Amino acid sequence: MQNIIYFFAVLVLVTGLFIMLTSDNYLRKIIGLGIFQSSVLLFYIALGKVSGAILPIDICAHLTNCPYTLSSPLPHVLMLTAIVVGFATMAVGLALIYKIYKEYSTISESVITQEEDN
Amino acid sequence: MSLINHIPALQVLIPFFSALFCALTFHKFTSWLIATIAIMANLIIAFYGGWSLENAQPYYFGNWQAPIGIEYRLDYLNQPIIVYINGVMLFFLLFGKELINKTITKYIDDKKHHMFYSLLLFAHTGYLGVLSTNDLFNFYVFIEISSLATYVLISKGKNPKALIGAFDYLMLGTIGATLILISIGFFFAITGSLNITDISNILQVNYGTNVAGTPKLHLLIIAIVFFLTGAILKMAFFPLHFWMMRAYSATAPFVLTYIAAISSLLGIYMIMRFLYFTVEVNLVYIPFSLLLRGMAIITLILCSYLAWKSKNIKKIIIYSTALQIGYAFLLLSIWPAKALLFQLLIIDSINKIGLFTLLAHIENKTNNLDIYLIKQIKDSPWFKILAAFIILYSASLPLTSMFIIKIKIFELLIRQNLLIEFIIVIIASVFGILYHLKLAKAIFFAKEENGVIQIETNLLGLFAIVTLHIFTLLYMHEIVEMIGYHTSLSIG
Amino acid sequence: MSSPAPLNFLIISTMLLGMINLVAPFFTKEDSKIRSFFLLSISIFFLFNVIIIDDLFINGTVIKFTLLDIGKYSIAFSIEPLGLIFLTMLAVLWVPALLYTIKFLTFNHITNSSKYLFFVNCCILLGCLIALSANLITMFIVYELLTLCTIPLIVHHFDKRTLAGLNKYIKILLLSSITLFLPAVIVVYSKIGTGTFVSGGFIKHYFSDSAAIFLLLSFIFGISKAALYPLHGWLPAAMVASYPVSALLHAVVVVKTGLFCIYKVLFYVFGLEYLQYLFGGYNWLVILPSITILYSSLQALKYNEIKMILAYSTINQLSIALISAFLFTPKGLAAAVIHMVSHSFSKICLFYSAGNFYSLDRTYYLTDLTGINKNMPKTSAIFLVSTLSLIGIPPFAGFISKFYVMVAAANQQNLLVMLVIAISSLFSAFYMLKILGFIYEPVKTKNVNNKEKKLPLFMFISLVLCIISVTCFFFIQQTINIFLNFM
Repeated sequence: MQNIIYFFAVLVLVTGLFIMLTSDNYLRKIIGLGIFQSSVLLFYIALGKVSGAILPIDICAHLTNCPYTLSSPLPHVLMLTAIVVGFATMAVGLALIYKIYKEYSTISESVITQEEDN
Repeated sequence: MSLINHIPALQVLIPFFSALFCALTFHKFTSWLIATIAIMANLIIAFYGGWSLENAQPYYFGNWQAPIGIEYRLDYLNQPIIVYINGVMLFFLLFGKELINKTITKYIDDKKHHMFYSLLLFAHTGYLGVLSTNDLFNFYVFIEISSLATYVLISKGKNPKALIGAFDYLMLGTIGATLILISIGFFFAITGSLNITDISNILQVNYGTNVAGTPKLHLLIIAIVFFLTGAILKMAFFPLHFWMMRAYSATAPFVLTYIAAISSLLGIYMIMRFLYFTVEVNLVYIPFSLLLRGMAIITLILCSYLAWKSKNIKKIIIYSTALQIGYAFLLLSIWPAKALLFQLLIIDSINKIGLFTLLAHIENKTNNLDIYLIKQIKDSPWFKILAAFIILYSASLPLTSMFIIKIKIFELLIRQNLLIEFIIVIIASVFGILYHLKLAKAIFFAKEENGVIQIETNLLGLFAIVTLHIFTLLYMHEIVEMIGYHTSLSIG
Repeated sequence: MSSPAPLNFLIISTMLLGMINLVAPFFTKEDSKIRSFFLLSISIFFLFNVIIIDDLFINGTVIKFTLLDIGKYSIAFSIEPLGLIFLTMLAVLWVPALLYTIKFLTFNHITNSSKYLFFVNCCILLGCLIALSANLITMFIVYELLTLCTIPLIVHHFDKRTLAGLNKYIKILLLSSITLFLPAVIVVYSKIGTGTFVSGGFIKHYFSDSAAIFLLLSFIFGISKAALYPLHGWLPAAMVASYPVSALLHAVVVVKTGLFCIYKVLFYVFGLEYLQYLFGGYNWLVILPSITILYSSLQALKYNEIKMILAYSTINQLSIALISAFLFTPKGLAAAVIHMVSHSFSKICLFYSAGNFYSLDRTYYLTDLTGINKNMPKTSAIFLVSTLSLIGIPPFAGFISKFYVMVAAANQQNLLVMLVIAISSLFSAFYMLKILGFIYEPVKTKNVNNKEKKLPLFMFISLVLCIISVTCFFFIQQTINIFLNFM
């Protein structure tokens, strides 16, 4: 039962993927990208949680006989990096969409492919 | 000098900082100069690092030891590739200045030309980082850095369809990288560490050769599958290569000189680093090699057939690029072929540079690259001679290094008694000759009624490539020995 | 294992001498006396050098050296009897070829003659390199290079026709060599570890019988320059080129390279005894050239274009040589070699005389030749003599070689071969005499303008040289026999 969070992470992943691959509007694809990357965040952070543990704050005076178990902070740190990377990707994506709009005056994929085929 | 100890970091940071400097100098020529000087310095450092390579000295950032800190490790697998990539970039900058001005930056706002060089250097940093790092998450970060810069580089060009291609590349590349990230998460969950050598130690201790029945094995298999899928998607290996065809066929060909030459090399490096250094290769090898062999056979037949059927010389060259990946896969799936694989990759990479440079010269002058409608190239005798060399080289006709590689592939297949693959490679060679004939017909024998163009751009780059071709032919023996020596030291 | 340095140097210097001829056209003006003098003197020196090498060989020297070494594959050269015969033939034919080609180019106002001459010389030198090759991979590499070098010559003047011809030419030659010849070479190298030619063959115990037969067929069909049916299509397609190219390359260098490579494979890779053992029961291999002979004879009768008839007659004669080689006896191989040389001389005379006709009258079809004897008596006489030689009438070259072939076939009691050769001679008589009929047809013209005077002297001299060789072939054949005794 405690693994249900992973199920939800996969759900978010598949949702994001679906939106990315089947949307007609480029902006919606970027939204899908954001959702897709959020699922990975869920996955990692869920990995870090140790059952019965508290937040990893420095309450113990000596590390050797500490009565508390601490969750791992490492995935949080990794995910900070991943959030930044996702943010940068979205920025590049949006810039590309802007350029596409300036060039084609539409951001609908079907319209553009139709135009290109003619 | 204590700076020498920091070579692994310097190799990655020099292009990084010079990218920042390039972005800050708002002048085209200065940024080109900064880029060239930086890459020259990087090449020298890489050479020196390769020379004094001693048994994979690890380099810890900030003196945080592994497995906590981020570790860079230069060994015989990645240092030669680093030297080679720096060489390719140097070639791109030195000999391509005129072509860059005419084919790529002409279509960018005048005030932003210097940004192109800084983007290029960022991409270069990313690739170098992917090669040098020994930490899985760092690996992912650098993959993303290089990809972001590559997405933008690909979107530049004469054809506005390049933007669409770049966007598609962004979508699918990010999916691939995220799959790799998920697999890294699984590795972290299984072993608790992010350092490649540490992961492989833990996996060996826990699993060793006794693999059946352990519950964590399922997680390991999932992790491996995610990683390989992500890598294959990202590097556009068959069967997930469709986006690459669309993206590459719209972009400026000269940019592809750098990107196509490097991406397949990097893809194979990623898979090798993963297979040989992270997981226990024996665990995965047999099912993976069957899968690879199937993919290779289909790629060889399909891509060479599609190349023959194409009506556009750019598409022909792009399909031939995809075809070489088929050969690489075939060799990857055969156990004793590791040295040959790297020889193939390097020689083929030089080949791609030649073809795309040729294409860039032609596309500079004409828009229509259809083989029946292409304009005749007149009065450019040196161009025709160099083009003849490059096409001969690419077609693996005798007296070229590609021919020697092809003989070795044939021999390997015979010795391993792989008759089906042998026949498939022969069929692929047949299609190869046919589509090279089409290329030659378009370049040398176009119909005069379609119009006439003259190649006026600087041919220094082509000269350099042809010289490199002849050089690899004459020193083939030494190159083969050196690569074999390095491969045996790194992978065994 | 290499011979002492001075002897190596002799071969290298001979080749370098020949290579001077490659660059000479670029530095001299078109149609200048300097160019002709330079090219001819170099080719005569080359011929002398080759004669010296022949002499050294007869007196027992052995020359072998390796140029490039990559693992078990190496580019190596050595002299041995078969190769020396081919080399001498090429060196002897180079002189009249240059004489004819230089003047043909200027007379017919063909542009870009430096490039043309460069590639013609290149092809001849590559033929010489094949003659000297010491192992399979060298032979293959130079074989492919020869194909590539002939391409610019065929499309020297390009239009739709030449491009279509070139397409077929390249496809058949390159595809067959990459699909059949190269894999066969690689199989030999990987199974045995070496491909160096050894007199008497070296693959005897490495392959099973059916695998060996399959390998032999790969070699024979892969070496498609020998124009066996069905891979003969490149030869008629290549007739779109101009006359000097068709003559030299497709009657002398390219096709003879094909024959030569097959002979080398038969003798130095397989070995005659092994082949006799493989085909012990019934020698069905001779059926392949027989089919080619019958097919090409029928095709030659069909066509009305001069060059097509000559092309199919070449295919015919090549298969006669092959049939003799496929008898797998020393006499058969000797007869095949002699036929190779005799056919070169006869064919080159035929093509050059036809080239003379073309230069003056633009003759493409047989009907254009009507009564040309009146205007060009000397050329017609040479054409007559070479035709007689081709058909096999004594005392000319063709008769001598066909006689040897018949003798070799009779020794084997191979009735099929004898029958096929007789039929082939009959058919060649038909179509060649048809041409002669047109040439010598009495035509009522008022003025006999001796157009022949317009032709440059050099073209004549080269024709005369060749026809002398055809007539005095008996002595040439004696010299060849000296070499053949070494095998």
